[in-house]
Amino acid sequence: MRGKDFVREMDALAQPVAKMAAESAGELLSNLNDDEAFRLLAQFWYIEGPTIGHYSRSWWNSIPSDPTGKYGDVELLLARQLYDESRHGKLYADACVRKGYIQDSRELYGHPYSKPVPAWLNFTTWLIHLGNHHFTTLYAGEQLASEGLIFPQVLKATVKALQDPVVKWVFEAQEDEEAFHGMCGKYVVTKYCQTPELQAEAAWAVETTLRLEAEAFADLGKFVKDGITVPRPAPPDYSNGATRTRRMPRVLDQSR
Amino acid sequence: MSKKVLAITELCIDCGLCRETCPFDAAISAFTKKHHYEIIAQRCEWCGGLGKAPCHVFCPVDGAIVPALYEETV
Repeated sequence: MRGKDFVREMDALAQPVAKMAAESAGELLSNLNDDEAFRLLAQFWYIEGPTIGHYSRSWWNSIPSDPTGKYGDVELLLARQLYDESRHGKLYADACVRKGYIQDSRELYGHPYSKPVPAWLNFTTWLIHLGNHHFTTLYAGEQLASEGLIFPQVLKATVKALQDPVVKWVFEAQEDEEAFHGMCGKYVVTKYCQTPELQAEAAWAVETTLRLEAEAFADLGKFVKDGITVPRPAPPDYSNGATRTRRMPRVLDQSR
Repeated sequence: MSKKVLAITELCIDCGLCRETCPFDAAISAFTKKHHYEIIAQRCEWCGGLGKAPCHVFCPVDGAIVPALYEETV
């Protein structure tokens, strides 16, 4: 399949999730009080502020080093994107300062509102993890699925729903750059994701991103509105751990 | 009553060094769609002015940080 057709296929896959996420963002974010707005900004700060170093360290590993400049375009795009992401993290922190929620942006590091809710943390670590794969998988999962297919619609609905000018400004000021990141995803996947093997892995990344991002937005919405997270089934009971066999250390095969 | 403050001009290249060095967190993202920084006048403590204030000392662009007067209303 051509890269272009693959992007079209992924676009069709993402549309229902994007529509649902945008609708729920529109409903949730109208009439936010100060406490709710602070929770929203603090959680978004987490995903772009303190994690920027993790993204950088991980994502650069996905691009093979090539002295002939074969992947120079991807490197330049990623450098610019990481700069943008760091800037967005600062926007959230500065909005909290401007609103008077905190006095100093460093306060966010220890604030309970900026501790990620479970699905939000899950989604963040997934984005970091994507750097362990080939860069077409990274660009399909992060830039294409998340920033290209879902986030623009969510961002548009968010800007429309928010009333507080400062909170609205934070999201509005990112629109062009998020569109750029989405286009990077489309460009890189179209150009480099051409083989069935790469496309299979990229499709897995897109599907996982869609699932995790939908869960993340559900958790985030619940936390912003009610200060709690979505209840999940209890973890398996391991209290009877004595019956589990102890794992033996690995030994070298002596027969060879 | 007016007080001396520092202000950021259009020459700002958005490097963010003023934000990191300001001891009073007065330099923050400007309230515009264009990504620049601004100094919140109420928070600015002058810090000795040009050549001494960390924001000016570390600013890489000549003329991006200038002195200004702020009229306090209280």
